[in-house]
Amino acid sequence: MASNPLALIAEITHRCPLHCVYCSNPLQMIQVQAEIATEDWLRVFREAAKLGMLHVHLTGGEPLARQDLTELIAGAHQAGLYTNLITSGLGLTRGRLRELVGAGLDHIQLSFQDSREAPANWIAGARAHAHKIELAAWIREQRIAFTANLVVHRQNLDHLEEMISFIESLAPGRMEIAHAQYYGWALENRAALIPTREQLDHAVVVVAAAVERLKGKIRIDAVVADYYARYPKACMGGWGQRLMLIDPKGRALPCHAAGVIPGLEFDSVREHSLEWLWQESAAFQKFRGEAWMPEPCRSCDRRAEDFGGCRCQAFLLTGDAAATDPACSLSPQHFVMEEALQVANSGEPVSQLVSRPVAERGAFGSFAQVQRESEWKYRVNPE
Amino acid sequence: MSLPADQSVPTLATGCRWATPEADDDHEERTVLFPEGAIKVQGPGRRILEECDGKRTFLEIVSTLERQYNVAEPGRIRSDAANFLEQLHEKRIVDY
Repeated sequence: MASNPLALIAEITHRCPLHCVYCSNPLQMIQVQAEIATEDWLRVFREAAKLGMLHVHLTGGEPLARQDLTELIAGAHQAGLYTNLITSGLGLTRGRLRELVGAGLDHIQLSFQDSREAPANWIAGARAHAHKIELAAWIREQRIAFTANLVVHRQNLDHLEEMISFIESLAPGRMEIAHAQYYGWALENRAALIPTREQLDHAVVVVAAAVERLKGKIRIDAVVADYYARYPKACMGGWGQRLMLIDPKGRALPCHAAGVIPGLEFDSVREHSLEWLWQESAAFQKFRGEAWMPEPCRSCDRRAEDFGGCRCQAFLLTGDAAATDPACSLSPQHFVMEEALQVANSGEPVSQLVSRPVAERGAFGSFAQVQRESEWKYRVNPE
Repeated sequence: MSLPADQSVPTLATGCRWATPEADDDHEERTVLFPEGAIKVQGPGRRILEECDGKRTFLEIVSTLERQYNVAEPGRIRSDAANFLEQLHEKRIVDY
């Protein structure tokens, strides 16, 4: 028997007003008509609490795109879950925020793309930045937990200090500084996002200084760039160990990206209880524990710490989901990481990525440098 | 970072709250929920945190605890409670 999951990631919709170039959503998104109903989610939340889960992270897409969000938050809260809304803030008025807090919202996580308006809007593919700043003040006024998220990458790491000061000025209780992780749309745009060694080393120093300086004021959590690490990340705290994700159409996945792994079938909350999905569904058992591990993981002292790294990254970069994560320096396929880093550190301009019409790119002002260096593949929306 | 002062009024920080009783199957333990995490507290730690209601001062909380616990060494409860709260303050779980 697997021990109980700790948290539920409720990916309630893939609709989103932003089109971030590093979006973690799958390239094939779920359509609105296929989304599960309010009652399905409410039952999921009750079952989650009964299974011993403590937190629910409402995410998307943009969760605000669901008209029943207030009802969903109220249901999760009544079930006893700690509710966290992960949002771009677009479409959130002061009144609707008050309503969500009244329904039992405990925590709001607001993403920022940059400290500077033009690049922030460029990355998001939408004019969102100014509204987010206004929203930050409304959140503080509500006295709920407030995390500001900052995704960092090649295009913004050179002014990391400025971005941290910017976030500091919004006075959240917590700041998350996350290196872009290369799944979904981010993998498509990897060459333009991956930092140089110099940027990374600089970032480590800047973040450490900020942690020290803001201690007791803003708690900082950092998500590392595993391409540069010696050992892989302990993805999701181990496959099927701590977290369960339910996607917009009700399928239970061990993580955001698991859909990329061929041959995995994901059972649905429409047919099964959460307990059954956690304990019995094949997808959750596939890489749970150590039986699936190849060498060098199988005999590695670190296997209980990092679980062989990320299964999805292993598949995306080596073609084998049961391979050691190539982020690990001990992986026989570690060279794929080294090749990507060589390109990133070559000093050459970033090669052209998947193109999109120039007219669209021009729609968000002139962020000349990015435009010159590369072309982006923006996240699209489900039909 | 600093320890709570006598007149500090410790309270659970914004966004931190006790889990509902059902979440705690073991009644010795209670859970405090906060963004991205939770801590379980029991024994004296639990007692200290339960006293942090945002109304009473640290000094008042210490005297309550001193009446409940029989600790011979003078000042011991006070320093233990102060250190405990400072740790939670650093994690942004307790404010004062």
